[in-house]
Amino acid sequence: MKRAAPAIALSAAGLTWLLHAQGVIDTKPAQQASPTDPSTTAPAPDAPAATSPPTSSAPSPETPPTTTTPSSRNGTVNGPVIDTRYGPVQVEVVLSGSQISDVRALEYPNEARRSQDINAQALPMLHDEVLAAQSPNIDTISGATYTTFGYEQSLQAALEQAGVLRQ
Amino acid sequence: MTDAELRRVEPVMGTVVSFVVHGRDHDDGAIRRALDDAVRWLHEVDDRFTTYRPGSEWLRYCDGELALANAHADLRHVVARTEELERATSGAFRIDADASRPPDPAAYVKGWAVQRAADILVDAGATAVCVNGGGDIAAWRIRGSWRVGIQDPFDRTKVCAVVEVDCGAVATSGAYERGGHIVDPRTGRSARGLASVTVVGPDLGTADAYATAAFGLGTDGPAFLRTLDGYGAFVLTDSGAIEAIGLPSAA
Repeated sequence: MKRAAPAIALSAAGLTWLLHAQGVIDTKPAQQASPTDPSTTAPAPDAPAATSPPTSSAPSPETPPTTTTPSSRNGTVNGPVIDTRYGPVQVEVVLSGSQISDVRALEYPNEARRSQDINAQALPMLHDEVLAAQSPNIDTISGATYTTFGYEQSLQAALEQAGVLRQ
Repeated sequence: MTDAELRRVEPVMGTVVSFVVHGRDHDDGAIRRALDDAVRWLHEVDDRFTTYRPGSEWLRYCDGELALANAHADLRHVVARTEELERATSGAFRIDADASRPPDPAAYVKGWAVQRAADILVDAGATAVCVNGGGDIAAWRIRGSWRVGIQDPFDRTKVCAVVEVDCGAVATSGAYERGGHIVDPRTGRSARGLASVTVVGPDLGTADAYATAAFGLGTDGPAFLRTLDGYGAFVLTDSGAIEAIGLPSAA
């Protein structure tokens, strides 16, 4: 299996790596590396304008309800209900334009004391994480956190569905 | 860019898998069907390999109730590949490192399943695919790159690095993952020394296994990562030191 050597470049935000690994999916054409300016390889913002009609209104029995196009960025987006050992949790993200104005827990376990501790810690933390997630030109985030609490899982899902990780 | 964008999120395998898929308009039906196929595939893998639900095929295999020869081809693949990874890493990667639990192939299976889900979409004609399975990512684009932020383990409001991926995988292991249950296979105790390990390379299952192995080795993790062929790594130690391995600087 042939693999091209990845390259690193520095950006203002910190280390930026340019990974041009090939081989697993080798049907793609060869890339022209332009490692010195990461902004030239950043994907163009291609989210439709907020005024475009939601395409999900078209009746299509095959289309699952969670499949969306990011057509609207106002209002709220709910994450899925995530089962944790403490009980089901679900978060709601409130959007104002392209910014997140609030993150709320719609459903959370509140019986055990442990759960209350988690609730007290998790939500402020999520606020901060949401701010990080709104960094420009980041499509997605790699980390080990999303499996820690159902909150983060539900939030991650809501953010991705809202399209706010991609601006 | 005139490609249509589809997004989907699916709770599965104890986490959430999110898809962002671009496709040409005339391929829309095929890509929606492929998205359904990919999600179905993830649930099939979850059912087969879960260690949380008694009676799964994997647990029956571990208990000796199911002979390997009679098992599904995917289970035979996972057994063969995880044994291969154990040998290739001199035991740094082990599915039975935690003696308090049944053997758990999740550190390979999750990445493998997400990678194959991405491959299904590429094969269906998508022009760009990014699948994030609980922080582990398989990504591909015909044009340009996906920008993958790596979360700062010390300040989760920050992204400490950005990886640009046009065809490849990014897997991160950290102390905060699943309540810190990654153990050092040599001692059976919780791994120490590293805050997070990110491995980048062509295949997510392999990258995931390498990240878990390196994290389990603690301070010996970077030496292990330097032996890998075709996979680079980004390591943060408990003291905050940063080390980039196997990724030559473009500067």
